[in-house]
Amino acid sequence: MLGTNGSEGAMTYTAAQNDLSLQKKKLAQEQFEIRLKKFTHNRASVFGLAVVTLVIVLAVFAPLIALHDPLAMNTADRLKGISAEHWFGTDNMGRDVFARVLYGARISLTVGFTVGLVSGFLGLVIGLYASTNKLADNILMRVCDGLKAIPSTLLAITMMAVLGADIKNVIISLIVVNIPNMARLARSQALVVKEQTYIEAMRCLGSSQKRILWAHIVPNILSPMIVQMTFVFASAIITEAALSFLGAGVPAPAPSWGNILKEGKDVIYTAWWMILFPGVFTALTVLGLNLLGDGVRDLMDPKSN
Amino acid sequence: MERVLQIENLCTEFKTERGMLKAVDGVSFEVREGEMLGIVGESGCGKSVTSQSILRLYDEKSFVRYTGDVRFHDESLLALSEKQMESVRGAKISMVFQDALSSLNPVFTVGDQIMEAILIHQKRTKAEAKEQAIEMLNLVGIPDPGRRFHQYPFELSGGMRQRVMIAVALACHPQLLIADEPTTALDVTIQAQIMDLIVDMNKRLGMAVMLITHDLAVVAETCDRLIVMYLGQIVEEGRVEDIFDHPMHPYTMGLMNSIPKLDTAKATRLYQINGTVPLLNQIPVGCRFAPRCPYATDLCREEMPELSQVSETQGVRCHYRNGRNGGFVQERLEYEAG
Repeated sequence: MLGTNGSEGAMTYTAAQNDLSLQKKKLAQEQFEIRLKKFTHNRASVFGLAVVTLVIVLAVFAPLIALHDPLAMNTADRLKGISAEHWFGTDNMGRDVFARVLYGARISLTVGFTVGLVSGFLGLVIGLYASTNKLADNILMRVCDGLKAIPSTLLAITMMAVLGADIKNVIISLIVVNIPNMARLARSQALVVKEQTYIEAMRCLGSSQKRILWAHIVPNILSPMIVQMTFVFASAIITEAALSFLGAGVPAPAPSWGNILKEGKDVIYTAWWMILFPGVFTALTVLGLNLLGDGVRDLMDPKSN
Repeated sequence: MERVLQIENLCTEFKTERGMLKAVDGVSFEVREGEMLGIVGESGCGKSVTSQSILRLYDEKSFVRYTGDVRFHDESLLALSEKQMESVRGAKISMVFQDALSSLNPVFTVGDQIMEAILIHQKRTKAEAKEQAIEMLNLVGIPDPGRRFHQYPFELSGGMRQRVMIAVALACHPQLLIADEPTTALDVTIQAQIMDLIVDMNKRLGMAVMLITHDLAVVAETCDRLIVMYLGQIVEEGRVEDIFDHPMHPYTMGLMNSIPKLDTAKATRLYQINGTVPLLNQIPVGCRFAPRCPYATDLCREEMPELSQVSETQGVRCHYRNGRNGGFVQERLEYEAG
């Protein structure tokens, strides 16, 4: 039915088809190589990736790497400096700081990752919903404004006071604190993408609203969302440390970085190692995540290739 | 020939802070099977709104109100639910936009987007849809369709992208293609190629085309019939030859005179229609073109003329269409001579 050049056309595309899967593979391979090259070319993001990977490895294999139990007290060895036995020294209860820092990484990464992922997902859903419905938009965005009006640490402390000191509650309150930013980002990006001609073109093709939202708008706003999620990951680690430092975070014996800092604060002049090592770990992890986020941002933009 | 689309007294009103604005005001016309219909007019005359109203693309909940009737074959499109409308868009009536560069979703490959149209409307497996999509790419004259299928829009040139858009629009073999300034964003040689492609598709697939443009030269070359719009109304309609031969409405004449000619002396100022299209909330009482019309009389300023036939194939909305009072026709002749 497609007219005169049908037979000639048929030949062209049968030939093309035999070659198709091969070509697709080759193209994907090329794309991947270009992207990899681009990523490795950016030294900062490679450094970020290395740091984050190192921290993850240390956290995952903490029981194998650390020689001591992070909770085992030994009053005879209180506030001992760096030694072959205690690489990062011991704290005021004689616990091994190295073990505590490694186990602390587990807590920080769990909190950060969960908060980034969940607040990103919930923010996406809320933002998308707000972008489609005017009334919901008004209500949701005013709630977000309200949440953003309160300093985030203060809000998190308040929530912890209400919910009680528990790692689960730290995660919940940090998610609540971070949702408004993610929702606003998702909403603003969705509103921009919604006005693009290709969305109108998709409507002209008969795509349903739902399909347009999930299959066409979401992939277009995903890259800024993922980048923002890495930043939320990083900031959640900092806020968690701050909460623990203030005594409103992970409850005491657990070795979170904030907890170690808090205990180290009283003995800062005699036992500098209690402050230095968790501090350095926190700073490096956050720096690494931010650099990684920048790298991911460059990587995710299809037009920058 | 059978009618594909019939529009009766279509009004499209937008809700704004300053009240309802009528962007399309009582437009009636029909599109026949296999024909090419041109719609011309300045920016803001309602040609795009008319075409988008046919597919009901505006948000009806809060933004727009349609009245009148749009019939596709025997189906009244304005009476359909949104769900039913979705099965019309793309399958029976398709649209190609002005800006090919931004009409394709940047995160999907070209092939995905053609397949999308096919998978929405036709029961096909992915493999069949893919085959059909490559066939479409081939049909619209894209070389090496198997490779292009896997490429992203940013890897293609503007002309290629417009070809892909046309392939997307035609993927389900619609009976009517609305082309809204399909060549405006492209350079001149590519424009000609794309127009050739549209004409070719029109002939080969027997699909009716509504070509919206402000380029009269394109209309003269490609269309069978022509509608001239001004401020949301049709001011002149008819066969292309008739209108180009003897335009009856001063606005149409103005548009034709605005085309620069090669033999015009260098020092001559280019012709222009004085003034600009008024805003929709400042629509004149009488003839809408009266404030800009060189021949306007008191009658024009007070009373709106009706669109009426001057011959079997030509209609015009002007009080002086028959040269009543003599003056207009006389002046027009003088004007054409000068």
